[in-house]
Amino acid sequence: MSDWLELELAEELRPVAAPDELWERVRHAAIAPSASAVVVLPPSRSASWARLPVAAILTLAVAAATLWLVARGQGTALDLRQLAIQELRGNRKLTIESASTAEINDWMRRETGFDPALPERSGVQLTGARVVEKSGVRVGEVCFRVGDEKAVLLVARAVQPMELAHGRAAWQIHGVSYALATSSTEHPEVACQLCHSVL
Amino acid sequence: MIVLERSERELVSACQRGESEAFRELFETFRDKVYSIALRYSGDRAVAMDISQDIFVKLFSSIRDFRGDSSFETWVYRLVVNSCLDHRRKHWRLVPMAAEVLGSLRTSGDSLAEMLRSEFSAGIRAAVDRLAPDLRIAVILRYTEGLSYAEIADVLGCSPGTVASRLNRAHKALERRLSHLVGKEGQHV
Repeated sequence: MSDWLELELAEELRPVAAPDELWERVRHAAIAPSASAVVVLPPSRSASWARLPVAAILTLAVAAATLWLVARGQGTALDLRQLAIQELRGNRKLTIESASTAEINDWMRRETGFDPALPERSGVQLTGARVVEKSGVRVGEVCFRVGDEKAVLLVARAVQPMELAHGRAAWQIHGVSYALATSSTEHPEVACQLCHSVL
Repeated sequence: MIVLERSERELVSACQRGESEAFRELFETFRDKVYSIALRYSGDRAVAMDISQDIFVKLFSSIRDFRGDSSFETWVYRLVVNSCLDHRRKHWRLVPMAAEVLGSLRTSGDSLAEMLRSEFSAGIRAAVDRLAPDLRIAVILRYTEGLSYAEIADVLGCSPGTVASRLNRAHKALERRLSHLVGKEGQHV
C-alpha cells in the first residue's frame, strides 16, 4: 500500500467532534411516544458543553501528518504509527511539562520502564511527556516541537518481532518499539532531530 | 482505550438501573466516536446526526441486553456499525468534488495550492464514499478509530485475515480511483 494513501486516509477520515445539539436530539427522541423504550434523560448541561479538544482537533487537523519515510510495517508497528498520529492530533494534557532532557529521560524511565536516552543536545524543543494506555499496552510519549511543527515519539515494549530498521517512521531496537509522527507535511524528517542534531 | 470517569462496569450498571445521569455520562464518553464513524461512513453531516441519534436511542433502550460477553466499547462499536450498514442514504452528495472546489473558489484569498488541496481532499472522501459498505466500514474503523486488525475483526465478527483482505481491496480501489490526482511519488498533481 502507498504511504501517501495511508497518510491521506488518516488525515481525511480523522475523528471529529459531535455537534452539541446531538444530546437534545437524542433526549427528545428517547422520550418520544414512538421510541422503543422510554428513557429518562437529563437536560443539557450548559457550560460543560464547551469542549476544549474540539478546537484542538480542528486546529491540528489542518496540518497533521506523520513521518512515513519508507516504512511498510505491519501489525503492531502500524498500530503504533496510527497511535502516534492520533496522539499528535489529540492535544491531550501532558503529565509532565518540561524542556529538560534529563527530566524527561528520568520521568520516562520511572513511569514506563523505558529509557528513551534522549541526547542533551538536539535541534528540538521538548515540551513534555505522558503515558498512553492502548489495548492493554503501556506506551510512553515524548512531545516536542521543531520550529513551528509539533511532533511526538512513542516508545513501547515490542509485543512481537518486527522487521523494521531504524531510519523509518516506526522501528524496533532491543525489544522496544518506537514511532515518530510530526505535523510537518513538507519536511517530516525534522522530527528525527530529536536524537540526530545533524541530518 | 476509553477511560470512563467511573469504571465501565459501574457506569453500565447504573444505566441498566435507569439512572439518567449515567446515560449522560455514557453519551459524553461515546458521542465523538459515534458521530465520527457515522459522518465518515455517510459523508453527510445531516445524515450523520440522524444515524448518531438512532444509535444512542438504541444504545440507551437496549443497554439491559449487554451481558458483558465482550468489552462495552466493542458492543457499542457493533451497534454503530450495524446502524451505519442498515442506514439507507437519504441524501447523496451531489458531485462532491465540484461542490468542494466551487466552495473554495468563493472564499476570497484562497491560493491555488489551497484549492488543489481542497479538490484532493474531496477526491479522497468521494473515493471512500464509493467503496462497498463492508470495505468502507473497515477503512473507517481503521483510520477514524485507529483500531487494530484484531479489534476490527472483533467488531465485525470476522477473522483478522478477512479484515486484512478487505483493507487490501479497499486500498487498491482507492489507489486506482485516485491515481489521476497524484504523481509517481505521491505528490498532488
